[in-house]
Amino acid sequence: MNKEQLIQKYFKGSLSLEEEKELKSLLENDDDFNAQFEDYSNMNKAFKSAEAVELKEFLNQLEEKTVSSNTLWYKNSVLYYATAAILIISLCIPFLINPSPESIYQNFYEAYPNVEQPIVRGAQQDAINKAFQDYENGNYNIATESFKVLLQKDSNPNYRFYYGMALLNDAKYEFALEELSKIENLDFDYKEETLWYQSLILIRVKKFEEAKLKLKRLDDLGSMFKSEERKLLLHKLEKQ
Amino acid sequence: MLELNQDSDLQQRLRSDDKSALEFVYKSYKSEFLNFSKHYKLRNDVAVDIYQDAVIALYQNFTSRQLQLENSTVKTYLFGICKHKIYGLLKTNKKQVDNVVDFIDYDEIEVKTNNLNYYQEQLAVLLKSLSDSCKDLLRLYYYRNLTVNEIVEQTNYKDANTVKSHKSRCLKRLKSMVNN
Repeated sequence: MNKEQLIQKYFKGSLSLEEEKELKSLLENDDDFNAQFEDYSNMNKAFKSAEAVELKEFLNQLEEKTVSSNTLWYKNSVLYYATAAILIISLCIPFLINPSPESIYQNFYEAYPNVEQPIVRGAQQDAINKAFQDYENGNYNIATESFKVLLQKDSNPNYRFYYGMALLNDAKYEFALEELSKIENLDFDYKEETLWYQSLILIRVKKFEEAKLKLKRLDDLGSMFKSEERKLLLHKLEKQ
Repeated sequence: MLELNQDSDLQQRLRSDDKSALEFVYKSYKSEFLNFSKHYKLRNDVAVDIYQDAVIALYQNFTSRQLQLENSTVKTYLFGICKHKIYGLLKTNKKQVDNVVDFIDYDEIEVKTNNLNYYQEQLAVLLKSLSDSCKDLLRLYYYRNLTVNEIVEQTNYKDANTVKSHKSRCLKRLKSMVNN
C-alpha cells in the first residue's frame, strides 16, 4: 500500500492494526510523510467544517419549510385538497409495502384533543382546569402528574381517559395501556376512543391478535368512530 | 422503524452523499427525538439544535468515513449520538443525568469534535472562492476520502493522471489564496 492510500484509509477510519502501526512509524520517522499527512488533515478538517455549515443551512431550510407549510397550508384550497389526497394515499401506502408495527402506529395515531373541559382562566375548579390546560398546551409530562392528582380526588373515567392520553402523548405506552384497560369495560363518554387507542398501542407492541379484538369490539358496538381507519387497520392486521 | 433491507438501502444512500436520504432521516426521527428531549426539560430550540448537530455528525460519518452499521440501525446510531450530546450538555450545565426509560436502549455514541486551528479556518473560508470544479474535486478527495481511481470512476475525468494534475493545481491555488 502506498503512503497516499495509507493516509486516506486513516481518515476513512478503516486501517487494520498492522496499517496503524505502519502509519505511526512513518509519522515518527518520515518528515515528508508527516507533511503529507498534515496537509491532508488540514484539508479534511476544513472541508468537514465548511460542509457542516452548509448542512446546517440545509436543515434550517427544512425547518422553515415545515413551519411555513404548517401555518399556511389551509389558506390555499388547492393545497388543502392536495394535502387530503396525500393523506389518503399515505394511509394506503402502509398496506402496499407491509410496514412495521411502529409505522402503522405512526400513520394512524393522532393526539386526542381536549373536548372535555373548556379552559377558563381563573376558574374555580383549579385541579381540573390545570390538568386539561396542561394537556391542551401539549405539556403532557406535567399533565400526567396533574391528572394523577386529580384522579386521587375524583375517579371520573373521563379524567382517567385523558390521563391515559397524556401518558400516550408522552410516549409512555405501557402505562397508557394500563390506564385505558381500567376503563375499557365501563360505559362512559370515551369508551370508543379508549378501544381505538388501545388497539393502536397493542399494534405498536406487536400484540396483533389483542389489537384485532379491540377493533372488533368497536364493530360490535356499532361505532362510527374512525370507521374507515378501522377497516384499513383490520385489513392490514390480517396480514401480520 | 424501517425494515432491515430498507435500513440497509438508506445507509447506502447516505454513504453515496444523497441529500434526499439526509432529509428522510431528519424528518423521520425528529418528532420522536423531541418527545424524548422533553424528559430533560430542554427548550425546543435547544433540542432542535442538538438534533440537527447529531444528524449532521451522522451524515458526515456516512459520507466521509463510508460508515457501515452492522449491528445497529440508522435510527439507533442517530439516537446514540443525540444521547451523548444531551448528556454532554447537561453535564456542562451541571444538571443531574438520569437515564430515562426511552433512552435506555440507546448506547451513547461519541463523535469527535472538529476543532480548527487558524490555518484550517482560513482554508475552510477560502474553499468557497474556488471554482466549482476545483472545489468538487478536492471535496471528493479530501472529504469523501475517495481514491484517485474511485474519482475517475465516479466523474467525467478521463484518467487518473488528469485527476492528479487537476487536484495538484487546485490545491496550489487554494494555498496561494491562504498565503495572500
